[in-house]
Amino acid sequence: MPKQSTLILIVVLLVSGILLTIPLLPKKFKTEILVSAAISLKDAITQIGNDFEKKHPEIQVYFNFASSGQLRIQIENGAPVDIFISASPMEMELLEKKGCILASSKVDLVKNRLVFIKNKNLQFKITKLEELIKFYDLKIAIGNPATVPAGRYAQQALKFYQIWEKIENRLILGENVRQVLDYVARGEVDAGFVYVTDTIKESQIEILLSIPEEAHKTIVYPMAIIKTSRFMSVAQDFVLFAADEKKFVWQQFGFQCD
Amino acid sequence: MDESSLHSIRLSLQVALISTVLVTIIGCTTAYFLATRKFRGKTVCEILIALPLIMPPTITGYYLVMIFGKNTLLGKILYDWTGCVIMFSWFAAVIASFVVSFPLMVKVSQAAIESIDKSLIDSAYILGYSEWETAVKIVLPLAKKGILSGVILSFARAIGEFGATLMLAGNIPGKTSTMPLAIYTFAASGEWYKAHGMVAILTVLSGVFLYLALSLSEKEGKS
Repeated sequence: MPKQSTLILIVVLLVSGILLTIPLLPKKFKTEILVSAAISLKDAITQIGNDFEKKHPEIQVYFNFASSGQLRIQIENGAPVDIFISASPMEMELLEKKGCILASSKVDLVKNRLVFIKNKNLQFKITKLEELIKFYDLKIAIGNPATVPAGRYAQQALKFYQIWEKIENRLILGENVRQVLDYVARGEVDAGFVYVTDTIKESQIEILLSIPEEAHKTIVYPMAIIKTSRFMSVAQDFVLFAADEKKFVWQQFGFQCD
Repeated sequence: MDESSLHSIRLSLQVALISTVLVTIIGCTTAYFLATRKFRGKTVCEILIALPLIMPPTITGYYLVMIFGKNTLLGKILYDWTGCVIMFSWFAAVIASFVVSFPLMVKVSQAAIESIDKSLIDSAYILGYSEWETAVKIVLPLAKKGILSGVILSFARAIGEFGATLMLAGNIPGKTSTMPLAIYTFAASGEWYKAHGMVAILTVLSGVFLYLALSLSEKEGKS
């Protein structure tokens, strides 16, 4: 009976419609900007955001944290983002090619270093990465090079010293750099490759070596304004603030600024 | 617990509640038609509904972003007509929760409706009930327990939703960061201790919901 079916449909649409229009949160009348930032930058960028709000009380800074790849997909599909800070130059380039970012606004915000760490309770030392081949039973974790930027840099370094083939099959792949750090800290693996910034708050690990910068591509975090930003001048202010004025905050969290 | 954690708890409950209300209404209706009708493309329909149940949530999220993003399909039409941006709003979290809990609701209540003794429905028609009356007075009450466990499971699924929400609603502390997203954010910076409260809430809630669903099915077994 079509009449009843339509009735059901109308009820369904009506109730959905009412629910759709209920505002969940009160509207704020401040200028709001949204910064999509790689989740590895969370602590430092949140502090910078708070400082920016203190300096400009009329502006509210919101952050969106995920992996750089996920943030890129959101921006490509029209997410209302004002600024993008990527942990991977590749994702930024992809957006630039698609014309999503304001090319003139692109800056290299900070740099990071790759380090080789071990569990605190383990007793062994190396002075060069090449010596790794001597430790046959060492379990080493790296981020999956296919998806994790830190893993990609580690792979480049291991290839640079021509030991990738020799130790490739005893590597344990983590789904993100945090997982690698946790594996080492909990002693599930003996050693691993992470960023120096990851090691700051972790007491269960020890840095064995800093990987020389020439062994891999520069680890850089590019930042750019999204073309569709509705508050271009505020976004520009924030970029300058984060890149120039707040260098000491980045350094406090272990990042390097030029 | 800090302000943004409290916001996450409230947001999660609101999102799961609204999503479950929508899922219950639309899911029950869909289940009713799937259980009582035969039509061309029904299998395709059922597969499409069930897909989010087995697909990795990030993939579901990717599809949702493509559908509701401002540059594509539905999102563009909505934006051009109303100026509304769905992505990164709290309602995006409702949509994500809806899509992943909808198949649960439909499967469970469809099975409940299909298991009703057909002769009872036929008697209702013979005695002059219209389809609407039969559906409301005979089918729904008889399938009540199945539908109710569908509602409970949907709410539990909605409150734990992560992957699709991260993609469509974003992970914006103070705006769209639901409990699972907030826990992920704390874990990513090694601050598990800040997430303990929310982890406890989610664990207890999940346990309670499973208990409710289980006790419903036990009662059904006895009667």
